[in-house]
Amino acid sequence: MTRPTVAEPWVAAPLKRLMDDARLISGVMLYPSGRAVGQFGFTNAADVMSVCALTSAINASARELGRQLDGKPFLEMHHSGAERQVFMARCAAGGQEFLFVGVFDRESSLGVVEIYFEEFQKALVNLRPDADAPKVVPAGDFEGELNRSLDALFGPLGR
Amino acid sequence: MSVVNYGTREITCKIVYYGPGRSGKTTNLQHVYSQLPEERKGKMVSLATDTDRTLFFDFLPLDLGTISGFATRFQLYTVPGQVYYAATRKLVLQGVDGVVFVADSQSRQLAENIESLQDLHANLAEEGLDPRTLPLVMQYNKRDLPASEISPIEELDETLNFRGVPHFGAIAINGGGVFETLRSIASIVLGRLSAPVAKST
Repeated sequence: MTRPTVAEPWVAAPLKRLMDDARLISGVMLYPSGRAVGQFGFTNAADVMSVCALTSAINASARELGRQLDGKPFLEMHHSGAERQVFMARCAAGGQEFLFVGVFDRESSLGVVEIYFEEFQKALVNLRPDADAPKVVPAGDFEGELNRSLDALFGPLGR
Repeated sequence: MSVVNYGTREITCKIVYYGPGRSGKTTNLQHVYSQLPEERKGKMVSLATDTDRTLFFDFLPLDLGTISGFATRFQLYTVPGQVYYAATRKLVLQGVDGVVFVADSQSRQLAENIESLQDLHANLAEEGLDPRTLPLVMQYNKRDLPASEISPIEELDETLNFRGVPHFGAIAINGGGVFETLRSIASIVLGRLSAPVAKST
């Protein structure tokens, strides 16, 4: 198993533990708006963004569906495919809400994932999202590089 | 808002294509997807109905490459234009960095354009975003229709573009104006990031 790739270092350890203990193939922790906090099992950034966009949308839908059908938001979702299963749930750290989506196969099970996700939730409660990450500003000719990159990809303006 | 991750040296920006139903938002993304090289794009996700109308959203991740040492990525979204999908539009607007308003140039669609623009402003305000300052580009689509059926760009601009933001005529169905529009909003959104950079260097 590889180590998680994280945008915020505070989540690396609990995410690694969840990945190992629950035997997840891949997973992403994200803000409800769809911004990734940390992931494992994905090699392509575009795939992570897609998973985040869809998870965010599913969470919003499930929340509203729960309100309408059960009087309160649904907190967990589980989808079982032919080979792989997906587990989605909410968690919190430092008063901030997050979402998690994990993928597993026959090496694990929904029950196992739920047990270790509960531990993951407990581990997160006492952590605080790090808002003071060291800042290294982009160096050099930012605007010039930006325009060259945009020209290369989209073509120059006024073409 | 734009996510600048200084640890992983990544910049991620969210662009939303907004506008009334059937104005050509999805067509814009489909053209972008069809023209960009594989290594610069992810899979295009379309949550649509059987009749091809966007039910939830379309999503296309783009990789702009490395700019000043930062891997720069764009997330392009569309919203469903139909009035009854208001909740979905609010969701998709969360964390938006820039908006492309795709207006339908047909004269008979003017009221729908205005209604959609008002809807955009109301939803942005609900998200705590100032509709007067958020990066915005106007696209007047379907310029290929007979002149008798469409409004002149000047007239559309007069009615819809009270902020005087960049505007583009487009024929999204064949790609006309699509990249010019995207190029413009990308430049505005990323250009905003360079302002604080310039101050701090």
